Amino acid sequence: MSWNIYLPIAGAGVNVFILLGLGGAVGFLSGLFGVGGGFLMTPLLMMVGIPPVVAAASDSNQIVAASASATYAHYRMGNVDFKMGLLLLVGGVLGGTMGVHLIAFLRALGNANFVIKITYVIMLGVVGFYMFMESLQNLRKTSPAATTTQSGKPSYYARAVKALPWQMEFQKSGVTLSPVLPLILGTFVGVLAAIMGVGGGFIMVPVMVYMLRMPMHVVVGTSLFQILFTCVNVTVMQAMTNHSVDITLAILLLLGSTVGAQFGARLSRRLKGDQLKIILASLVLIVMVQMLLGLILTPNVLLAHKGGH
Amino acid sequence: MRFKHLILCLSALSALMMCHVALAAEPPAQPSGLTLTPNVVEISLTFHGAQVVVTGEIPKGAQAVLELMGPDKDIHLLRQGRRGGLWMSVGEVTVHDAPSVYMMLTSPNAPAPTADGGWGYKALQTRASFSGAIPKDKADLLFGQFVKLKESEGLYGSFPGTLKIESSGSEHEKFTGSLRLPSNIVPGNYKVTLTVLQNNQPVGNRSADLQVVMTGLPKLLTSLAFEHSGLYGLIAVIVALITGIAVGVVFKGKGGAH
Repeated sequence: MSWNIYLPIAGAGVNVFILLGLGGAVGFLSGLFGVGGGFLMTPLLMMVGIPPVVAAASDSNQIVAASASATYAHYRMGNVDFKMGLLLLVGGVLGGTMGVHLIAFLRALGNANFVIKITYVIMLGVVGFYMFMESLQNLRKTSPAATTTQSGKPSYYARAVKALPWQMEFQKSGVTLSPVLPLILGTFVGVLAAIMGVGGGFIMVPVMVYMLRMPMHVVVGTSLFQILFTCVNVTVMQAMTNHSVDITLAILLLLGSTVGAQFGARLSRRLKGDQLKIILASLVLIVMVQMLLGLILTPNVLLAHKGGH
Repeated sequence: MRFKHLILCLSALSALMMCHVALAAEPPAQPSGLTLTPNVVEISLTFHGAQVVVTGEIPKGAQAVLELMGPDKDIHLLRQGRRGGLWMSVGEVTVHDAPSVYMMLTSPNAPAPTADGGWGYKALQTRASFSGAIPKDKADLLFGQFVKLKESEGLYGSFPGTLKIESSGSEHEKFTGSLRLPSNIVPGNYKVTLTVLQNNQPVGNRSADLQVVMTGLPKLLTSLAFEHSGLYGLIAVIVALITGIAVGVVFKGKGGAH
C-alpha cells in the first residue's frame, strides 16, 4: 500500500503522513498558542520541497477552512464587529488583489520567490522578536501580567487618527474613528497576506489592538471574519492568475490542522501563557533564521527555474 | 456521533482516492528488441515516481549504453547571484537543445563518455547552447550548474557500470537496466535508446518509446486548474468552506488557525 499522494499543481509526490503531520503539528501549535498557524505552514511547506508560490497559494486555501470554522464559533458568541470587519475586508480584498498581481509581475521578472522569502524573514523577525521580548518582560515581573493601559494623554498617532475625515462610531468595538483607517490597514494586511499565503491574523490582531484600539474579544472574532473573506479572495485570485492553488495539498493540510488544533487547544489550558508565548516566539525566530540562512548562504546550485518551480 | 460520521466519510473518500493506483499493463513485445516494463507510466493519485526496467539482448562480448531522453525544449532559468549580501535572481538564461530528462546507464566495461562519443553529459554539452544573461568568463560553468540543477530534481542522472549483463552460452547476452523516474516527471513521450559498442565503437542502436501520462484525479484537477481556473478556484473555496464549517460543527467550534 503506497501512502504517497501526487500533488498535481506542485508537480510532486509526497508522503500523505508528512502532509497530515505538518498540518497536525501547525494546527496543534495554533490551538496551543491561540495564534495563527499560516505563517509557519508556508515556510515549512517550502522546506519539504513544495514550490513557494504553490505553498503560499495552497495555504491560503487551507486557511479558508480553518477561519470558517473559527468565525462560525465567534459569530455564535457575538464577537464579530461586522461594520469594522467589512471595512477591513474591502481593504483586504483590494490589498489581496494587488498582492496577487504583484506576485504575478514578480514571477515574470523572476524574483517572486525571493520577495516571498524576504517578506517572511522581515515579518517573522519583527513578530518573533516583539513576542519574545514582551513575554520575557512579563516573565521577569513576578506579579501576574498587568495589562498595559493606554495613557490618558493623546499621542501623536491618536491626534492623527482623530484628524481623519468621516469619523463614525463602531458600537461593537466601542471606538470612534474614520473608515479610512481600517481601509488602509486592511489593504496593507491584504498585500502581505497574498505575498505570504497567510490569513494575516498575526499582523491583523496587533493592528486592531494597537492601532484601532479594539477590545481583545472583538478583535479575534472580527480578525477571523476578515481573514476568511481575504483568503477566499486570495485563493480565487491565485487560482485564476497564477494557477498555483493545489487543492489536494490544501485538503490534506486542513484535515491535519483542524484535528491538531483541537489537541493543542486542550493542552493550552494546562500551561502558562507567557511560557507558551516565549516558546512560540523562539519557534518563529528559528524559522526566520532558517529562511534567512537560505538567503545568505551560497546555494548548492546557482541556477533556478523561472516561474517558481 | 457526528464525529463518527465524519471519520466514515473521510475513510470512504480516502479509499476512493487510493483506487486510482496505477496498474501498469504488461508491456507488449516491442519490435526494437528493447522491452520496457512498463512502457506506459501513469501519473495517478498515488504516484511517487516509477521504476522502468529495460531488458533486451546484445551480441556476446559487446558493451552497451542505455539512455533515456525527454524532448528537447527551451528551458528558462534564473541565474542566482549575491546582491547586498543576499542571494537572488540576477538574470535569465535560456538553455536550448538540451533534453528535459536525461539518464544514462552503461555496461561495466563500456568506455567513459567523451564529448564526441555521442553519449553522456559531455556529448549533451556539445549540443546544448545558452542565451541570455551569461557571465563572460563563466559560460562553461553554466552547463555544469544546469546538470547539477537537473540532478537535484532527479531528472538527469549518469550511472556508469549499472547496466547488468548476464552471460549465457549462446551468442547473445541478456542485459537489464533500471531507470528511476522521479515524481516530478512531466507527462509526455520519452525515448529509450540502446547503443551497442564493440571495441569501444558504436556498431548500432535501437530505441523504444516510453509514455508518461497523467490519469484520474490529477488529470482532472490539472485540466480544471489550467483550463477552467475560475471554476477551480471556486471549488477550492467551497470545499474548504464546507470542511471548515463541518469541523466547526463537529467540534462545536473552538477557534483555529488564522
